[in-house]
Amino acid sequence: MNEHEDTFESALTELESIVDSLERDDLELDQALTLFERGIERLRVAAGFLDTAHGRVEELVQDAAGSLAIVPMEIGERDSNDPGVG
Amino acid sequence: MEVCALGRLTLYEAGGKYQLVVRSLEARGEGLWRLAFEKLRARLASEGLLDPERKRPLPTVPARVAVVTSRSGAAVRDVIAVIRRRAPWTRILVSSCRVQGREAAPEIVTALERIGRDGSANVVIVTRGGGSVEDLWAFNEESVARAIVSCPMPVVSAVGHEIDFTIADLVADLRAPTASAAAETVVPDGRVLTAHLRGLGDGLTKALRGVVLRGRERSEEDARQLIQATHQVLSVKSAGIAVAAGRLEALSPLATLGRGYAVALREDGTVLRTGSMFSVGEKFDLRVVDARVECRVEGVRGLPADSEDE
Repeated sequence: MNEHEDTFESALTELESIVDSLERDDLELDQALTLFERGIERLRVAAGFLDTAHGRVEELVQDAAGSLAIVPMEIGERDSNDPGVG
Repeated sequence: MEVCALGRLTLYEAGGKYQLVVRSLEARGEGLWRLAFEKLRARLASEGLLDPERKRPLPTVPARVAVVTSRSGAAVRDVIAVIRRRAPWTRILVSSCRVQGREAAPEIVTALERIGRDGSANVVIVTRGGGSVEDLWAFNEESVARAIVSCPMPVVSAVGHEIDFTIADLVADLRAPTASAAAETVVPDGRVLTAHLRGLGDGLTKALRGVVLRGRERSEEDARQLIQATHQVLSVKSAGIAVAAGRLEALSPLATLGRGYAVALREDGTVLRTGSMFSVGEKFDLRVVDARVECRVEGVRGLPADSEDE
């Protein structure tokens, strides 16, 4: 998941600098379109990161042999957030 | 320090002396706890483990938050509720352990170790709700302190009520007064993030429009496709990023054409922006919203400066 976070933050930073460059720099249309395209792609990455579908509650458990597993977690009656895990 | 002693009291009348033979001795009040707390604090401090420079920064937008606490306690519910509200895309990974009693300290240690071994979380919240000094004691154990210190990702502690301070709080990268407050600190406000992204999307389109209107027209088809791509991305209902397509439409250069404006283009794609760029007899295209109209210059008449532009 670490690369996810990097991707979000770097996507955001790059997007900001692209908008800045499109606003300030005197660009040829070709360059501008290339930058714009890159910007759209970065926007897509950043928006995809915030997709609510990622948000699940899971539990990190260890079996007798000591190996770890991540399993869906139910937490009583208030847990209505996790209809389909997978 | 206050103790409760059970034993036999003898008085030696001759010397006027009392003697107490103690059979059992038990700490009372907070004296002993405090003594143990101060001793451990001093030891950890001497190793430099409480130095402010050791505190690691928290990630600003964690993809996954780990929670070390009892899976059946109120604290885990509070953390989940806050994260759901503020940053509903965040994955929550619970590493459950007992949080009071004799087994609590070793269980907290292994719960932290599991998180470290798994390695997928970006930040860890170690928490439990309020209780007596005795209830919270596991969080004052040296083993727990060292497990927090050696956790590979930043740790936020929230133990007991606001007034309670534990060794875990001292060694953690950040101490929060309650479980809810810890969750608030760990995840960003989704509304702020999405508004920022939306603003950047608008800025992107606006900026491109600026370039197109300023510059030499060449690949309009590209521009049209790209602007459509913006619509697609921004109208995806992802975490509330539902930007009305109409709003973006208003910003795109092609929408300007839709309102009845046209762009005059030379065959090589150059935008003909001023009268001096036209010459009589020359062919040019008029780009309207849905077509290129082939034209020829019949004549050019200058206009007074103030009526020249849109």
